Amino acid sequence: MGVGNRLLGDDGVGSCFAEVLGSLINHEWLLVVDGGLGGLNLLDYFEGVELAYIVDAVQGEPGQVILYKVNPQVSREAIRMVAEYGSHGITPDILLAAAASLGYLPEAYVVGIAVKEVDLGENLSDEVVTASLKALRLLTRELGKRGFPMKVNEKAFLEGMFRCGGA
Amino acid sequence: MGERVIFIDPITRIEGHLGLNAVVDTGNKVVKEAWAFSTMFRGFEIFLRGREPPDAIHLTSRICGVCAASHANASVKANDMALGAVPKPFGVVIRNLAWAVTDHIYDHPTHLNILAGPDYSGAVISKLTPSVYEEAKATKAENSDIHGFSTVGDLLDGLNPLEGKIYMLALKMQRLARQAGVLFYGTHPHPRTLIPGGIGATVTVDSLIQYSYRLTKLTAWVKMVVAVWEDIANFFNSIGYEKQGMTYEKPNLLSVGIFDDPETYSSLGESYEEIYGNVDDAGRKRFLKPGLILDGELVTDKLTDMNVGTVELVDRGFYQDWDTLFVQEDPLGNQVVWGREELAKYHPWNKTTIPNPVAQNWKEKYTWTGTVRYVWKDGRIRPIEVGPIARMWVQALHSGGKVRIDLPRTNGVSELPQGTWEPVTFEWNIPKVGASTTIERMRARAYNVALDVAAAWHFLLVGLDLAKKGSLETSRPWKRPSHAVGFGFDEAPRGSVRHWMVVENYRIKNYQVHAPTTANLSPKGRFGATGPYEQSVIGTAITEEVGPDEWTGLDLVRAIRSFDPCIACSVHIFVGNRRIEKLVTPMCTV
Repeated sequence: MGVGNRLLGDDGVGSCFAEVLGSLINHEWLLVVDGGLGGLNLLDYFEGVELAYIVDAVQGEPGQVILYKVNPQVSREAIRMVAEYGSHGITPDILLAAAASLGYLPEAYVVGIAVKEVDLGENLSDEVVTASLKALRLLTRELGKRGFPMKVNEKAFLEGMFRCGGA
Repeated sequence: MGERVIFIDPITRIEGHLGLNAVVDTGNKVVKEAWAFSTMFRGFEIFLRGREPPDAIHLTSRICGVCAASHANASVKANDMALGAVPKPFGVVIRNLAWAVTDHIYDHPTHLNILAGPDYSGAVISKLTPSVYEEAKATKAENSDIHGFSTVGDLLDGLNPLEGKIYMLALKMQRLARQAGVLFYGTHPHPRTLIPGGIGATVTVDSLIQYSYRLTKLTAWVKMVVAVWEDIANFFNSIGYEKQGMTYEKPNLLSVGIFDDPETYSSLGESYEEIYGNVDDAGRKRFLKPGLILDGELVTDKLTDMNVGTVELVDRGFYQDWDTLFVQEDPLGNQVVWGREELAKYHPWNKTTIPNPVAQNWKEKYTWTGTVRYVWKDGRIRPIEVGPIARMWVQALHSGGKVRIDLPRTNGVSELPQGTWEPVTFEWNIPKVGASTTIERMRARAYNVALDVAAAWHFLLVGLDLAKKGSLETSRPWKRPSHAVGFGFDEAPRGSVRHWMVVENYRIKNYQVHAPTTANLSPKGRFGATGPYEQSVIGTAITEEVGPDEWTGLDLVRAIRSFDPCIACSVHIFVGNRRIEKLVTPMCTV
């Protein structure tokens, strides 16, 4: 699942990632979802899912790609945040915590792509598009280790990302 | 005695983008003046020009990501009229069934428990109004035999985001409503099957049974929602919240009614003139009746009256004035705006959208919404409030001052307490305070969804009956008129949604949309009156048990959220809690 706001520059990288990846592969064991800004409306997608990767924009050195395991715990801070600001801005941890409360318990990871510019606009920065290929390789490797071989045409992927990013 | 400005932008947990600027007297802690504003331009009226009319159904659906079907339904009815085609009876039934679940039965509990509910949750009130929390903990919940919670405090804890039982159930149950809607709409949130003169869905007895399975569970859930909110509403009124968020002492309320009668609607006619001429009868036969209440009195139940007297001005909105006059007289021969020539161009058939962004100025232009007002035949000009409370109020005036709702037995819904399995009769009465307030808007919404459930059961039985007779045809072909006008009036969960269309050579000449929020968020204007949002905040007292410097504006956002606001869904610009310090959120995702 890729998430993010395509109208906020690099924040949309996850959403683009899902759109492009979904157009290039099709496996029985895999569902690719462009979650956009779905917030808690995305919960339904986790029913019956065993393993989930969420591709999202994160803060860090622009172009850096990170992987971390989601900790689906509802913290007091998370409750306060949703109470005060609503569900549009929730994090993958909160989303998965809510999914866990509904009895959907996938093992979940975030593939984070560190952003350069998050500002009004529909373009992805070159750093982020390039990093999306690193993220794809990371995802491919992780899935391979678990016995889910995924083969993606990298050239087509990168072209798709540039197109999605407005280049 | 001083003043404190509370500036809240954006007001979150709503669909879209809305801000509020309120001046509070720190002596008596009451709001003296307020400006509510929309911060984004929508522009649908502009890019619809020149398109084929049916395109509007699917394009206007995109105005909102929560109540998408609302705009699609208003638009399809404007198309029915303008293009001279109404569905066959089974088509009307299927439209009603789909519409009842998505958006109504889906949206109301979501708003009550997920979007507005956290304002009343233990997590919020234990922090901002701890004495209220203590009192709630000590107050017995009267409806515990239905919802299973012993105290009001337990109910409020149940609304805690992400962990409260009521909040989590709301997340779970909204899904069933979406599934039921997709049986007929094909997709959610945007219906794919609505067409002028019908609905392009293949419906079988099997799909009706799948619908009834979900409706059974939703019925049990709605019993719980009403029981929960009845207790919460009574509690808040008992601690002095009765007049908080009051709009008008003598209410100005509009409901255009909802859920057409299959036989009546399917025989309205074959041209826009015929359909317009018969539409008042269709309105009166709706499951929920239409009505316009001015200064506390029901003045009309005719949809054509509600059309003729509506104006939208742009004195305080970021738009330019215009001089176009497409329509001077409706098909019945009524002069638009009752012949008031100086206002005729502001009727939605004539209104022309010309954006004109300028710097925000509270004394001049400060919002992207227009000033919606209703002009009555006797010369009165009033702002109009729309929403579940308007619907219930109008319905009550049509049925002796109260609304009685019977919900059937719903055995075996294992997710919910057994108290929700028994048959229940609910009764909604016009509020004692005689006006629309924060709490009464919340309560009315809960009862309204019970009425929607009753409507769904009614039309399900009608549908099964038609299916048994083999009357499964849904649609009639629409026409391609060289000239026509139309309007589509319907009720979105958050209030009347009204679309107007002028057609020339089977192309849209002019299209205007009044979302419910267009009326409720309408700004000040040349007639002196204040729109419902602003009016609800003016006079509201701050109940937060902290000093003025720490006020968050809880009572003000409760007042506004109780309307279930919807503005152009757009990029979220995160802004400091009270100050005009704007910054873009670094991570606006998931």
